[in-house]
Amino acid sequence: MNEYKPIRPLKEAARAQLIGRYGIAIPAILMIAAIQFITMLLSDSGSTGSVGSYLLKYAISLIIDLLMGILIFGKSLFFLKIARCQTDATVKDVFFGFKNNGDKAVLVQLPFTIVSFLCSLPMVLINLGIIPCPTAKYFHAVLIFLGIQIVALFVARLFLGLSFYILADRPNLSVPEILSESIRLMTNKKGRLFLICLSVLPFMILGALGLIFGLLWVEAFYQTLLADFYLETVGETLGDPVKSQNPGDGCST
Amino acid sequence: MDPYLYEESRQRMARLARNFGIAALVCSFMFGSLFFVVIGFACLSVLIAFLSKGKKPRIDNAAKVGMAAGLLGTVITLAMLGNTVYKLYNDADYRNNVIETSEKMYGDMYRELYGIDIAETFNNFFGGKK
Repeated sequence: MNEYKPIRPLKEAARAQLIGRYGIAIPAILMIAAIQFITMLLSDSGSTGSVGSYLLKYAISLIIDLLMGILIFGKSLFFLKIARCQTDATVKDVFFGFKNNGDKAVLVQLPFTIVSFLCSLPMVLINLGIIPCPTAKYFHAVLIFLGIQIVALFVARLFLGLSFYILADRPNLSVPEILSESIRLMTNKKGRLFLICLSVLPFMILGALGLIFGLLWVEAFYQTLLADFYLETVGETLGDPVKSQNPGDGCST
Repeated sequence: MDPYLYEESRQRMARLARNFGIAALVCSFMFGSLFFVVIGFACLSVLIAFLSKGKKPRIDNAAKVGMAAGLLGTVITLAMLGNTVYKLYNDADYRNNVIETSEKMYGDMYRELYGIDIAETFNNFFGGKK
């Protein structure tokens, strides 16, 4: 039976776990954002305006999206450590996927990339002139398809959002097993995840108004909140930073 | 984490929120026209004040001071901005002074960039006569 549980304890736990850890969480987030920005910039720089270069740019952006799975895996592992109050969490954890299970991380990211591809395809066809679109309605088309993409990715996240945490926790599972485990864990939990995302929205607005830099704190909080949600879903006790005394020892046991 | 260290880190965040709030207040006095900087600092102070709560049910006094200062700074900035816009709409002398000063400082550059006079833009917005 579905029983409503408030999300306040999760938020309190995430806030507490991050106290004194922003110094490592923000550089980790900055590093991922910088890598993402630079790779996108590089893929843009090769564009000459021809149809071939446009298609090449589109293909490269999809490949980058796929490879970002490695960094997302590292980020999930890093914030899982923060949520468990493990003292061995370092910025290096972000690159964990390059040495361990990088192939699986890419495959776990594949469903998200496919959703992105399917949702952005109409826009590509419009840009190439295959689907006619009057110039006056171009801006509306961009907004509509962007909206559809965001919603579709969010729905995919409601089903497969825990995949990277499962990969970090149980790397011996195969990719289909990881995806099906995520879907199983998310049964009856989608509403809760939706509420969690909704509760972070005011913080995101504040962060965006806070000269954009505020988003760094909000992203750290949001990622820790998601890691806490995963811990709660698998039935693990949420980390309490004050109780964790031993270095390298998770405080959740 | 050592409880003392945890509490110290939490209070450091609360102080950071206070500092952002005070920065917003100071900026509102010094650079009233840069309202986005003031609002940015104020939002940062509110955000960090909330995040500094940790598991405590209440926000620390230092963070509260920051939030209040940030809010005051925002109110002052918006009041100054509102006053300026109001005067531009209703006070012809003030509007002409602003146009004259802007014309002296940026007139040529503005004409070169947009092909029209600053006075024309001002009068289009604020309903004055050329």
